[in-house]
Amino acid sequence: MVLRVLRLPTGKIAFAILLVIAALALFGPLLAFQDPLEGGAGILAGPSGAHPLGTDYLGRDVLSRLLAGSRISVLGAAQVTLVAMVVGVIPGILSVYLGSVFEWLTLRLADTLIALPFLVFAVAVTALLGNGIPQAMFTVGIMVSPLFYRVTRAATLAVARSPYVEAAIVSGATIGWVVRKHVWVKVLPPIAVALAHTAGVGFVVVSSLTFLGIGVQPPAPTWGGVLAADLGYLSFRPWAPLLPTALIMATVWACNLLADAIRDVSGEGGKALITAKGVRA
Amino acid sequence: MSLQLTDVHISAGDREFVHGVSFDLPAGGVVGIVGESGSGKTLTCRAALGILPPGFTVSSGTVSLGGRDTATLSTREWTALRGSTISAVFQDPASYLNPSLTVGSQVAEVLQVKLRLRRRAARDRAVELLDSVRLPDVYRRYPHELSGGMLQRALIATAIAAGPRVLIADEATTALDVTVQSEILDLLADLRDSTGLALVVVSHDLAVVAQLCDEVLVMRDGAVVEQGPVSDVLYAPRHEYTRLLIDEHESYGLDRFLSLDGAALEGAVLEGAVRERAPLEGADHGAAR
Amino acid sequence: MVLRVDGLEVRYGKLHALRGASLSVAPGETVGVIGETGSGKSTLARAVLGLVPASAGQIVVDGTDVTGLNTRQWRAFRRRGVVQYVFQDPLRSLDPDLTIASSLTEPLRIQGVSFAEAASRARELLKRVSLGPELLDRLPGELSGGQRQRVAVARALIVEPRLVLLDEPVSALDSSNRVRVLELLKQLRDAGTSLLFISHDLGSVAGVADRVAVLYRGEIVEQGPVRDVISRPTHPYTKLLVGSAPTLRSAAADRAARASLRALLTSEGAVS
Repeated sequence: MVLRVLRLPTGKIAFAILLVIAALALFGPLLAFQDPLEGGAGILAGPSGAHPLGTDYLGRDVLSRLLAGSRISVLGAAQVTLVAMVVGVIPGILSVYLGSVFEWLTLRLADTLIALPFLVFAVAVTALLGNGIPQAMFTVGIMVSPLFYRVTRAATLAVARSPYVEAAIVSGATIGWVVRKHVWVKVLPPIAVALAHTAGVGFVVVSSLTFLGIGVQPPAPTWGGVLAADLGYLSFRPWAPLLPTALIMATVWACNLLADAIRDVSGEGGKALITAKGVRA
Repeated sequence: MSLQLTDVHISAGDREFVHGVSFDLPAGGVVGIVGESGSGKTLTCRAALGILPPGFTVSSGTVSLGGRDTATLSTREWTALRGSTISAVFQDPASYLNPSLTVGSQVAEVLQVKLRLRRRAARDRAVELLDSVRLPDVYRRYPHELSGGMLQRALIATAIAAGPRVLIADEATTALDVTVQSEILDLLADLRDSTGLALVVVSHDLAVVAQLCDEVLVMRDGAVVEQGPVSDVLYAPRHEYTRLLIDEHESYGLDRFLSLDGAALEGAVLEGAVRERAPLEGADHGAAR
Repeated sequence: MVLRVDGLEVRYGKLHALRGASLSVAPGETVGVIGETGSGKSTLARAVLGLVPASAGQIVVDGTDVTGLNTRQWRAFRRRGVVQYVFQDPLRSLDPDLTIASSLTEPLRIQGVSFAEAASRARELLKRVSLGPELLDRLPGELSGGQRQRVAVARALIVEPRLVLLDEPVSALDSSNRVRVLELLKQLRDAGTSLLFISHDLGSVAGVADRVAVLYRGEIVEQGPVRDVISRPTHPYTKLLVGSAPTLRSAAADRAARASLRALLTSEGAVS
C-alpha cells in the first residue's frame, strides 16, 4: 500500500512535504540557533543577517520561534489523530457485532460529540484539567473521533452483509475471524483516508488553539502562536504572517494529497466505501 | 406491409455492425428476432424506430413504415410517427416511468400529446387502456407500488396508447418471472388478435420467440444466420448455431418432459383448469389461511 | 434424512415470508425448490443455515435439531461442515481482496486445518470443478462469472458436506456457463452429495433434481418426482408455472388455459 501510494505523483509530493515537516519536528528545536524565548534590543525588525525573518514585538527571532515551535505543532496534530483513531475505529467495528444496545449507545455518543463545537469544548476541558498541550489535544482527538467511528462502521456494515462473510459464518467462523480475514482489509483504506484528513484538521486545531493561547502558555513558541503575534503588528511587518501560514497550509495540503493518493490505490473492496468527497459516513 | 426491412446494414464509422437484415411484417403478423447480446438485434430494432445511437447509421438498405421509406423522413415526421405508427417496449420497465407521477397520468400524457385529447378524454381513454392490459385500479398508483410484470403491462398500455400499427418488444420479458413472462406474451398475442397490431418480438430465448411468432430470424455477430417460418427453423434448423440453441433447450428446458408427455400435459392443464376451479374455490379458502 | 423442515414459519416484522413450509432431503438425494419472486425461497435457505431465525416449526439437519441452537452451538455445528451454501451472485460471493486460494481454503482453515493441507485440498477441488491450479493466486476480479461460481461450488465442497444448499446458482450466468455449472451439479449428485437446489427456473432444476417442491407465497404447494410434477401438476400455480415455461416443440398450455389459471390464483389470493 505504501509503495503504491508512493508510485503516484500526488503521493510523492505529499510524502516529500510530510518528510520535511517531520524533519522540522525532529530537528527544528535543535536548529533554532537563537533562544526562541530571549528577547533582544530590536523589536519588529525586518530580515537581517542575524534575524533572517526579523524579530517579533518582544525582539525574539521569528525563524528560531518557528523552528522551535514545529515539534509542539506536529506532535499535537499527531496526538489528535492517534487519539481520534483509537477512540473511533474500535467501537466502529464493534458496533456492528456487539448487539443493538452497544450500537445505539455508540451512535448516540458519536452524534453528541459531532453536535458539540469542539474548540469551545476544548477550551472548557483545559479549564477543568489544566492548560496543557496533552489535555487539549486529547480532548480534540475525542471530539473528532466520530469521523473514524462512522467511517469504520460504514465500511464494516457493508462488508458484514456481503455473501462472502455469510459464507464464512456458514462455515463456522467467529466474529474475530470475520473481522481479521474480511473486514480489516476493507476498512483500512477508508481509515487511512480519514487519518490523513484528521491530521490536516489536527494541524489547524493545534494552530487555532495555540493561536488562542490554549494548551500552551504564551512564551512557548508554536506556529499558531507566531501567527497570532505577527497578526497583531501587521502595520509594521505586513508580510510576516505569510510564513507560519504557509507552513500550516502546506502540511494540511500534504495530508489531503495523501488522503487522495490512498483513495486512488485502494483495493476493490475498500474503494467502494470511499467516495470522491472523502469518506462515506 | 406495416414494416418492411430490405437488406438493412448498420454501421458506425468504418465498422459495420449489422450485415443485411430483411423481413416483411404484415398487419397482425409476428416476427421474432433471436440472438445473444451483441448480435445486432437491438440495433436492428432501433433502426426500425429511427433511434439509432449517435454515430450509427443505416449505411445501406431501406426501412419502410406503412409503405414510406423512412430515410426520406424529417426529424419532425419521425417524431410524429413514433408512438402513432410504430412503438416499443424494452427490458427494464421501471426506468421508463417517472417515479414521481402516477401511472395513469403518464399514460394520459401520451394521449394528450400524441392524439391531442383534452384532459378529461385522455384520462378516460387511459383508464380504458389500462383495463385492456388487465390493470384495473392502477390509474392513481405510483410506479414503485407495482410489480415488474405490472410495470411492463403499464408500459405496453403507454406504447399502444396512440394506436400504433407495429409494436417492438425488445427483451420485454427477460427480467421477469416465467409466469409473469407468459402473462406479457399472452397479452401481446391478445392485442394482435383484437387490434391487428403487428409485433416484432426480440429475445435471447428461442422458446419465447417460438411461442408467438410466425417468422423467426436468428442473428449472430450482426448477421442473420437463419430465417424462415417458425416450424421450419425449429424442426429443421440448417445453421449450427440454431441447432445449438435448440439443443440447449432440450437438455435444460422442459421439452424433454413434454415431448414424452406433451399431449397428456396439455390435456391435464386444460382439464385441470376447468375441472378444479369449482372445488378449489370452495375447499381451499379455509386451508389458505 | 439429511434435512427435514417441518412447518417452518419465518416472519420479518409484518411480512410473513414462510407460512409453514415442510420439506425433506434424503441422503444422496437432490431436491429442487421452485419459487418465483417473493415466494420465500431465499428465506428458506437462510433459515436452514441459521442466518434468519424461525418463528415456528422445526429444522433438523443431519439428525441435529438446529431450530433452538444458540450462537455458540450454531458455530460448533457449522464447524462440523455438514451444510454448505452457494449463493446466487458470483460477483459478491468471493471476497474481492482475497486470492482464490485463501477463499477456497477458508472453510477448512476455520476448522483449524493447516494451510498447507488446506491448499492441497483446494488444488484437488479446483480440478474437480474443471479449473486449473493457476487460478489459486488470482483475485476474483480476474475470473469470469462462470469460473467464480465454480470456485464458490468448490469452496462449499472442500469440507465434504453432507448437504449443499444452492440459491439460484445459475441465474446470473450466461447460457454456456449455466450448462457447465449444471453439469457440475449433476456430477456432485452422482457422487452422492445431497443437494437442495433453489431456483425460479423449472427447466434448470428439472435437469438436475430427483424431486421437486413448488414454493408459492411461503408454502410448499406441491412436491414429488420431477417427472410427475411437470407432466401431471395438480396445484393451479404449478399448472400455470409449467404451462408458462417457454418450450420449443409443443405449447405447454394455451392462452385460454393460462388465463383461467391466473383468474383462479387471483381469486384465491384475494381471499388470503
